[in-house]
Amino acid sequence: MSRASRSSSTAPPPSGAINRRVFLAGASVVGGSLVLTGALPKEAEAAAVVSDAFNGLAAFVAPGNDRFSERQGVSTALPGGVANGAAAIVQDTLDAAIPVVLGESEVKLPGALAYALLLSNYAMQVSPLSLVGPFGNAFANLTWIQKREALIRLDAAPPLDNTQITYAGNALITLAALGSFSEGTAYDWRTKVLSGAPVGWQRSKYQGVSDGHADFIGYYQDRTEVSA
Amino acid sequence: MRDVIVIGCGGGGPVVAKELAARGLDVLVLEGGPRFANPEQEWSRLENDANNPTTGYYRVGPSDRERSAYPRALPQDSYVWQVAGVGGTTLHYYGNCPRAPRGVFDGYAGSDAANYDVDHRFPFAYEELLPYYEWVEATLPVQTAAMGTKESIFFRGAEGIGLPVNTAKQPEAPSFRPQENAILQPQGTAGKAEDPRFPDAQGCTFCGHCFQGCSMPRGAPRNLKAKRSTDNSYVPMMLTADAWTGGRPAELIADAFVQKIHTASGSTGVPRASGVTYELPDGTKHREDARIVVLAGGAVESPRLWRNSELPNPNGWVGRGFTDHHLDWVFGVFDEDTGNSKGASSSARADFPGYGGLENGGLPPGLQAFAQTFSDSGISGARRTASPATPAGADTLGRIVGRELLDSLQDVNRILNILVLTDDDVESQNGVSLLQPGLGDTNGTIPKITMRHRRRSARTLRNREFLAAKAVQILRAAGAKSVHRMDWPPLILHSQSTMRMGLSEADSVADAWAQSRAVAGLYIADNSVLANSAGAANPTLTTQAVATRTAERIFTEHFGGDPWVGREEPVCSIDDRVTEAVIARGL
Repeated sequence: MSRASRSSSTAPPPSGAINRRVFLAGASVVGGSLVLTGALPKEAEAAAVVSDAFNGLAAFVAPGNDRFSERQGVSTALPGGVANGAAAIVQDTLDAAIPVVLGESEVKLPGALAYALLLSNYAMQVSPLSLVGPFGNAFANLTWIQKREALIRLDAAPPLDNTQITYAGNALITLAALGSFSEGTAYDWRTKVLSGAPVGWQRSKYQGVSDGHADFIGYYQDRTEVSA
Repeated sequence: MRDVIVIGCGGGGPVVAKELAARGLDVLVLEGGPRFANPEQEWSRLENDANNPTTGYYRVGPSDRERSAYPRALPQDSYVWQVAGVGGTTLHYYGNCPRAPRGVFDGYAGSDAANYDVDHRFPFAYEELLPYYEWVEATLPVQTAAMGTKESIFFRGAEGIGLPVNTAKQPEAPSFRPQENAILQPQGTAGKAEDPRFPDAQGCTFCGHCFQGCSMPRGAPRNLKAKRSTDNSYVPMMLTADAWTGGRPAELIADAFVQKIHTASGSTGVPRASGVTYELPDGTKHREDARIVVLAGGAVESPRLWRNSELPNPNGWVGRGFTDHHLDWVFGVFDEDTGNSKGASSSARADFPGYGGLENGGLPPGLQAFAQTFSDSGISGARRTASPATPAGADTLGRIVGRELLDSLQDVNRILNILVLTDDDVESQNGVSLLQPGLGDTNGTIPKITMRHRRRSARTLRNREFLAAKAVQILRAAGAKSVHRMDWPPLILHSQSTMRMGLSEADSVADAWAQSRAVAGLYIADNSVLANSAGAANPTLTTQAVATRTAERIFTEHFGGDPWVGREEPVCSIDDRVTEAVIARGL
């Protein structure tokens, strides 16, 4: 029996909710070493565990001029994924995807928090000292090279095989990339208001949403239809 | 009692509904997702807002975005990128409409016959389906794609490696061509202006938002929007069948999730479909009965509903045999403008019958970054994962992150992408099952989608490597300064064959007429009924041709009618009679 299947069954929380009961459920599944080290944060610190993890991830994927990028030792003069709100995109997406069901068991993981704990766990495998630092998640305290190593390990030896969380490596990095170069948090879907030009658009020289472009060249060899 | 109930209003269901409504039958269409009635206002065309797989307006979930998406269990590294709603996954499709190669059909005896999925051919010949292809092509309509900057570069690369151009509908040998697609050709100011308006602009405006939904040209009636997703083509026709033919309008109920298919005892001892139960957002459940039930919920929801309805599965093939074209992504970075974020997203392709195909794929920056970081080979330059993929001649293999991502994306319009469409085999190991009872949402037990991508058949893996190498060659010949292969894990955009029709009763769910073998009066009309991966042809056209044939079969077999395909002239979805009815009824 796997560690996961021994864990207690936990009802899914409301979308986006974080509470200690849910946090403990996630920790028991993917953050066992956290419990053993006594590093389990209090409820009030759980939000930082999540947001710092994904800001650290956004800085890794698309470095900028923010403190997460500076901490990792790879930064740029221009804003990057952190400024585009990539962390919130990752968190919202993973929380909306809950409950994450583990294979044939009845264990359900609490979305973003579980993934944040997973990053912390792999970070401490790479560098136990990462527990100490300015951020509430060990992953965010790593250097860029160390983050890369943590994510390589995540790819090479994914956790909890045959469960949804197996694809953490891709889910985390691709969502951070989407969040870094899309409209990010500059757009509020509830109010349908876009606040200024997103950082990701500026970095990629994207002109933004348009009703049309003057890019029609014609037809290849002037052929507008083919034979049946 | 209705004549026909159609479950699902995606790429296939509206085809059956339109055809049978045109014959005067009483047709009810039930769609589990929302109906986007006013897309110009409803669709922001912003990438995360549209395409985020769990929070975007193009997700598989209820209309109310405050509620969670419908969960899927994915026991491997993968995404399933389907859309719930009227139009289904055609809402975000690129509109490409290649016919399937002859080699995927029964009776093919060409010199390369052994090069296809020989154990899972369509249970009829290509010539049998041809008139239905032509009917759908005239209805949508399907036209030769216009060319933008990115297509011109793709063609330059294809010419550079010595491929000939194909000037026919069907590729008979390795070749390249503009797509045959369901996107209206640009007219007037379309493609020539940044702010085009109907009626000065008609057809494709080159806005670059195929994947976020086509609501252009602004001001055009719904059936004259450029992309012929079913919400713009077949759905307006099915709702106005009385106006353009002597038919009876179909009734459409959106946000109506079918949770059970009912059966009654049949005269031959085989159970017979008798009706459905669906749930509305307010939690109320409703039952409707019909003489015929058509299942068209898509390659995931159709087998899920079958299993949740506890319908018979005597050979165990319900949900099995999932094909997805084992997609891959190769991109090049150029020193010139590629127009990557502009124009119809994919208007150029190359075909390699027996192997699959390649098509260009334009993207805005968020999805471009997504595409460049999604890999089964891990981070580029790092030690390898267990993926069997090779660089195939590319400069890098795997995720592009950090400074490399910033560098490659410093101008989104200096990238050219090629999507690899693998002619992949039907394999019983890949499919849709259910998690254990009790692990469900309001619509029943959650579907579990298994795709053992690293253990695909030798032919599938061979084809993918072959095509990736061709993509690299095309990009280099086009002048790319660097070329990168991603080796995507399953990104399930083309989902097929989970309720496949087949020659053998031992490994198929439906017979040659798309009727279930185990339940009488229950037909299947979505991508799930395809016998195989259609030779890597984008599946919608073939599904729609098969669905047209299925509709004709239902009418002749169960309602005493006469066939019409090949005997009548099809009415095009942009016909003035349809347009006038759409405007008059505020559709």
